[in-house]
Amino acid sequence: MKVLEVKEINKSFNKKKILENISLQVNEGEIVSIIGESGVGKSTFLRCINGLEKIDSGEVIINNNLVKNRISKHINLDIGLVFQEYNLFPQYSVLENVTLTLIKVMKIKKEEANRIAKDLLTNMNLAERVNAYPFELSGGEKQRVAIARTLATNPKIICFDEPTSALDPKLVEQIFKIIKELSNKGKAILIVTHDIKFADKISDRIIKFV
Amino acid sequence: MEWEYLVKLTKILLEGLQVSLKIFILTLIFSIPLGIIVSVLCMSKNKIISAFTKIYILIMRGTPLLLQIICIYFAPYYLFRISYNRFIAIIIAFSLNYAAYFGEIFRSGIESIPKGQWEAAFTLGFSKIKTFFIIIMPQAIKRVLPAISNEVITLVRDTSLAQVIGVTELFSIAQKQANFKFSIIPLLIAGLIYLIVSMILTLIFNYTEKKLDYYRG
Repeated sequence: MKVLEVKEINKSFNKKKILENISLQVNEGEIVSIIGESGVGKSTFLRCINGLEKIDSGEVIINNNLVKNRISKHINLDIGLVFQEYNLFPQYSVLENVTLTLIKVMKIKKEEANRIAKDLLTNMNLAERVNAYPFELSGGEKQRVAIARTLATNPKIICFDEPTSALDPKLVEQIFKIIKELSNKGKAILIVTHDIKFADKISDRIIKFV
Repeated sequence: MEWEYLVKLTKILLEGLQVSLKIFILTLIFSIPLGIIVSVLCMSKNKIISAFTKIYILIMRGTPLLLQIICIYFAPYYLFRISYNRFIAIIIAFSLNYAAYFGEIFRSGIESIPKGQWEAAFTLGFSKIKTFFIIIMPQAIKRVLPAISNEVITLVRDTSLAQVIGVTELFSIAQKQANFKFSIIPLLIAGLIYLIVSMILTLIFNYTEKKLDYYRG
């Protein structure tokens, strides 16, 4: 089943075309990687479909909902993004980073939110770190908190921006397993990466931006 | 005799301190929220709003507070023949002036928070208002707390300017007593009271800074 469908989107910055008629489709449980050199618009593409940049033209359809230019009043939580820099909220503990969305956005009661968050964090091997703060975590741990936080909204598709860029080989293996597991659970995965070896190994399909 | 006078004098001065503290507290109550609004308006994408706010900040920071107090109290009289309560005029003048300073401090704090924090909150479904108050402001406040504490301590001393339109506060009472007795003692005691209040505030801010030290970033 199609989870993400992008139809001929265009995006320019200062009259310079970054994305030109890009179309793409990602199905349930599928892992698609976008590779390409720096500056070809891989991250911009990810930002566009996540509503962080407005597209000039084209359509983004997420879980059968047309989201043209997603703005803050109309947010589609069927798509989630794990940032390259993780962007965890430093003033909140690991647990709070995950429960915050559940409580403040999804209006779930605190006890229930704590239960969901603890489950997600346990799945990410972070059960022991729930009370830590982001500055106390290693890069790999931060990334797993970011994934758990993204999963809190139960998105149908999860995007990863350069998931291996700051990880050593052992941690790359760990993120590989996590992504595979998410895909086995039916999540559609879209990865933007420089790491061709990783993309080759993990993806069902690779798209090259030139 | 001398000792009795000192006790009596201190009592009188402490009554003046009550007025000074009233000015101080009311100014903070109004100027801090107003400062947050000023910071947001200053960063507005609407150029007219941000330009207007910048002009307001320029006037408030670029002219003496003394002059602002005089203008705010006397202008309605000269323009419309309306006179009003001096104490209210002082609170308006102080709040408008301090809101400009607080606004600039908050703006610098908010702008120093990485854009990624806004973006992460956005992708998680937070509205702009929720992002501002739940994610951004707590981080910004931690960063600007030392600057805020400077302003707050300055405000303690600035309350003495209230006497310019005849509001009787700590320093004006001390001056009157000094003139009456041909003595510098009342002024020195007033100075000591300002110092003690400032010390208490410094301790409160140091404690708050330590409390917020539980995280980095």
